[in-house]
Amino acid sequence: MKISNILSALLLGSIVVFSGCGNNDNSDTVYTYSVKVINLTAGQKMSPILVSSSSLFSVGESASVGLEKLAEGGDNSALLDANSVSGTKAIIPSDSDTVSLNTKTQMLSIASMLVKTNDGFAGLSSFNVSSLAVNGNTTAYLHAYDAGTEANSETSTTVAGIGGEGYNPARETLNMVSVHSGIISKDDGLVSSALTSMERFDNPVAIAVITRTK
Amino acid sequence: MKSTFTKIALSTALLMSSSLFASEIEVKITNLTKGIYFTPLLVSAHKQSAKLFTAGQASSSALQKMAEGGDVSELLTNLNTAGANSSENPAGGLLAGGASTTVSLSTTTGNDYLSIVAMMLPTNDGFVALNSLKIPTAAGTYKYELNAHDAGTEANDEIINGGGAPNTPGIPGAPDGTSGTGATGLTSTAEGFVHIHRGNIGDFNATGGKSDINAQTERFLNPVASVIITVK
Repeated sequence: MKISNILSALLLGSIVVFSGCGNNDNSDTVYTYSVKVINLTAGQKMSPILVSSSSLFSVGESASVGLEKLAEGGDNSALLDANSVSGTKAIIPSDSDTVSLNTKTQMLSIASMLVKTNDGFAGLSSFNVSSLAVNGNTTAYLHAYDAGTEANSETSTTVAGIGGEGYNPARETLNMVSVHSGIISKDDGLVSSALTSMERFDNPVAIAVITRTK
Repeated sequence: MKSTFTKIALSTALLMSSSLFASEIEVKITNLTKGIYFTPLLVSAHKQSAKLFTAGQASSSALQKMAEGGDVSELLTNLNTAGANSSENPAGGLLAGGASTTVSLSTTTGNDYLSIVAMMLPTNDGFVALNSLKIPTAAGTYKYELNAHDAGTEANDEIINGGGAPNTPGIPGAPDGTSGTGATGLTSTAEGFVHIHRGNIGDFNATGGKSDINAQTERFLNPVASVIITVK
């Protein structure tokens, strides 16, 4: 009896040691990450960022309704939960916003609408930060993704960032997240577009500086 | 006693023979684009000397066949001659935007570099490429993103005329079905060297204009593919 108690205590001790040094989602360790997102575009304002330790999107799959609301209207409230945190302001080009996230999972995802698009967003999908020690930092580039929920008509009535409609539950036929193919704009021959060359972008559209603070 | 020794010797021999296989890897390739298709992929673990191309230099005839018409046969022949471990056409045909395919490779010693190529449709001589990546040795999962390259062997005239043979101008086809016809062509000059693709231009004229490519549905930005390598 005594021996088995000692044995189980030893076993328990070794489990705690192992879980403390690796990427173990079942442990009680809480990590804190400071995430600074800098807008790298010329003329695309970004909606308040959503930083989450859950997966937010996957290329080839249909967007969640929460992501659709973010990508079409800049509203991240439906994605906000215990695993995520929102920025407090829209980020204009050259500006940045910083948030802090407490998480037991060493994976980070980020999403923010590129507001002068139909359903484009700056995104980072399940970026592994398990190698970061306390005070260690790393950077990750955000690409422009297309939520695939609304046609890229670029018109004044459909682009939220120029006064057009935000979220609309209707979906475009393909209904699939992909890397965004870019803004065309009226300056490049799309006569029905309300956008100009200033709203065009290339990847990357933003950079995230991620620091583990705890 | 003797039989135990034999067993140990046998298992040691087995261990030694299994070291001929440097690693077991799984490679998941995802087309990240919305409207661009990949022709049958070539995935290969090879020696450093069997590199498929060098950016800035002229394309080989084997690479040209792949980039202009999706034909990987000459690249595969060259890789087989070099003793590579390859998988041809793992997706069983075209890989559409958003779609994925997974390849398992047992790599023999020395085949420490991974390359992946496939033509992109519709483009004249555009291809997605992972070019001689040193395969990680530690067990784990590794993620990479791939860019669109231009073989530099054919003018990006953006005329879709079925032309897929080397030195035949034009684009073999546009599987997404949104392209036009009757274009006069954007340019007649090939670049002459492998480089990062400058993108499709396209136009909004389904029956004429300079390009048969649809500017709204058949443009793309990098990255065009993601690769997740699992080293076992």
